[in-house]
Amino acid sequence: MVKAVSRSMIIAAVILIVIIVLGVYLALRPGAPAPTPVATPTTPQTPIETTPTPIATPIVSKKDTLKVAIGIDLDTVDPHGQTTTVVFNVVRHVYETLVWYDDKGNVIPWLAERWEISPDGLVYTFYLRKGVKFHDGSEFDAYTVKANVDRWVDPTVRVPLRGQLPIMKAEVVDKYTVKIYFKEPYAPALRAIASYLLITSSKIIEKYGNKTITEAIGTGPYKFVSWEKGKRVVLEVNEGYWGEKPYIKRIEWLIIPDATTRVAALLAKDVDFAYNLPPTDIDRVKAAGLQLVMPASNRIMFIAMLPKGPLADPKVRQALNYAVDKKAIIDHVLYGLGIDSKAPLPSHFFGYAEMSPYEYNIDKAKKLLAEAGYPQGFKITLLHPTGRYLQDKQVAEAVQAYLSKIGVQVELRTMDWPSFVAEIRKPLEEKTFDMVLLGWGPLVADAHFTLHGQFHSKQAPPAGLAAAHYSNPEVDALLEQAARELNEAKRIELYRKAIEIIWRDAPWIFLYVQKWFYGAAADLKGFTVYVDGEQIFFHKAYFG
Amino acid sequence: MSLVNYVIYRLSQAFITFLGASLLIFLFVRLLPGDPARLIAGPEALEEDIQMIRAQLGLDRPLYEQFATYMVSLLKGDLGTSIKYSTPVLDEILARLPYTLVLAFTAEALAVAAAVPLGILAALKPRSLVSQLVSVLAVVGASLPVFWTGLMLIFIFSVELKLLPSSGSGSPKHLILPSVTLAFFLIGNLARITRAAVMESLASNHVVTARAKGLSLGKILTRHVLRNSLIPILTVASVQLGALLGGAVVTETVFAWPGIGSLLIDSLFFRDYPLAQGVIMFTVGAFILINIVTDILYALVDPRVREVLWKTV
Repeated sequence: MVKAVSRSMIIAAVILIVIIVLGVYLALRPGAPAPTPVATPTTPQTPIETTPTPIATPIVSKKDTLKVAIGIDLDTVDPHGQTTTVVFNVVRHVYETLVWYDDKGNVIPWLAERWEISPDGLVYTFYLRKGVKFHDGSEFDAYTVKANVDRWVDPTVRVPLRGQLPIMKAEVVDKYTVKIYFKEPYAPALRAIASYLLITSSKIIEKYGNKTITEAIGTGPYKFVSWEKGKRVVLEVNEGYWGEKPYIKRIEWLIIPDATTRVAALLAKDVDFAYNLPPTDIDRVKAAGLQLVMPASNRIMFIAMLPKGPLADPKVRQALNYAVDKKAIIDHVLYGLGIDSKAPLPSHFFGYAEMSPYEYNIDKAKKLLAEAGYPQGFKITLLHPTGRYLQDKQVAEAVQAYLSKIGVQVELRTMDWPSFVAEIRKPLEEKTFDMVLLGWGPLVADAHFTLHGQFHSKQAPPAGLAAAHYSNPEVDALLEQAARELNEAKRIELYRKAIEIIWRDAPWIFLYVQKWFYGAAADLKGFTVYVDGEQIFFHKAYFG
Repeated sequence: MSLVNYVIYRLSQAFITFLGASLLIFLFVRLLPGDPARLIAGPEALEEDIQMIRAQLGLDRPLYEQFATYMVSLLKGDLGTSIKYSTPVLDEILARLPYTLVLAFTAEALAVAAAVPLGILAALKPRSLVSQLVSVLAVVGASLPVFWTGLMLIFIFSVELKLLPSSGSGSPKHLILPSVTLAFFLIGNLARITRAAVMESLASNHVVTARAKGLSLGKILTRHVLRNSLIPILTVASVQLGALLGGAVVTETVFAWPGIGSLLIDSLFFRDYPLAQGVIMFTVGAFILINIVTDILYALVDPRVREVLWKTV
């Protein structure tokens, strides 16, 4: 008996090994060994996949249904309760806004045909498009806009991003003219209106009041048909759409939480487009003849250094910046899915100014450390989340390895996302770590949201999430001034000044802007990557 | 004591267990670090807005007050409102429940259908190939992580052979890969238990007597052996099923199967206290209920158990 069991154990072991080897073979088969750097086209600012469509020949899509794999389920379809980019992306096919963006990120008319801004920057007058109908048949007019604004400012309604669009009130001038008032001049107002103020019908607002809206009724090119939680969201074309009608009749957003399964679904042609694929699968997707879509995100990745211990000295912080080879991390850890940052915000943001980068230079780093009085280095703790950002744990490990070369011993502390957020929200004196790996990705591509959110002293935890507890009265003043400055050229100049100071002070180890990796079927054309890269639009997509 | 009394006794016992569990669950879910309001709104949101959400959700009230509200509505049969979805927790669970039930019962049925005959064959011929196959299956099935098996099946049957859908739900075809993945994990254990139980009763005196009397093997198996071996098999199968009803978390995630398991993961990740509580309570309830049903089944299959159980109560 004993003998029989041990024999079967051996057989079992052999089978296990065979299965594992087979699996590894299957997993690695197409393309080169995994960790080779992949050169990818880096055109972050312009939409990558906008196929210009000749006006003369009418486009007919070869298939009527588009299946898109996303990794997370929607949380809500409430137009004013949105927070998550992917969810925004889905409902943006249903809801529209007064103004919108062109390919280059400029604000353009949409549900409003034109607008005027009062000289003091407090009143925005919108002249609305006529003849626009909601999916429930009701008409879009100034009263609708007022109802939406009233709901946005109502403190009893759950509006998580209210602070990003601090409207005071709205006033109907006539049926197609509406005024939106701000308490103070707010320079990012138009962009925030374009990104956040999704418009639903007055009927829906009357029906739900301050309760969460669970019906998605908009004016957009697609109508919301169904949402089976954890499974899929179905949209169908809006035949009465006021604008150009979409070619694809039906979009199914399938919720597939596991990234490898999304790759499999794409390879098996069960879906035509898949969001957020693992960078390790770039070669596999390429080898299968699928389209790679790798847009830049709004998210800048950095390691915030807390102003305590050795890190309180700017020289030390600069030294750490010189000690980390960001380009190597991008190539080898991120498989090319990053853009070396030359400022504390992505280059496609309004208000961006390019600085001269901290080039990888160990000697310079050592010299700076010695000047600061730490020739032997020191010990610090780096807190990082896992599974939240692209290769986050691996990036933290790479930074640890680089810093050890200049004598800085880094202890890594890993946490899941909710615990991580709870930890970085603590006040400075309660923090038991020295550095934190974080990404910051505001929905609106305007310098205000990154710089004010991360470098204004009032945003330091626990009040906000400015992770580095950075405090510089000069930067505070510049950021406040820039937020109120309506002259764009002057505003850009104010941000340039603030960025120069921040860059020199180096409260972060400036790392990279994260890029996304999406895959698309070879015959899917015409989809647009919206300027900030995180939203894909299918209203002009077709199979050809 | 009659069967009815026994059931009432067990149910009242279960109720107390359930109340105790609900207190523990309430506390444990809140012991996790993290703030639901912050997680809903995202890191980029402003603190004023987060405060407002916290107040709307009642999270700013003292814990005992929250617990009191929770218990009062629980006794009324109200599991509360999901923080993430803003819908009744019960609705969310009921929407996902059919998926979990279908997957759990199919996987368990597959496992039983394969494991019991395998186990019997192995017991009848302890040194045969089948017997060794059972040992091998037990080790391989239990050692391979479910996500690995699942992904391999997806790559073989969907990507390479293009026979089955890679993930999702909606048709019987979608059910095949996840239920086979789960069954593969369950078979080995179940087959081993069956083999052991059958071997034990084969060696028992009454079976030896029956054999000596010259009864046919078929009759001995159905009448004397299987009935006696049923209890351990039932025990293992019901424990497995109980665990599956709590949602096969990994399998559901790999196959994008919208069951209870993926709901639980989602709710924990969002620190959606009411939803997480609801799902865990539901799982606890299902487990308790399955245990009761199994005990009753024991009593029904085995007169000896009937005697002992009902007398001691």
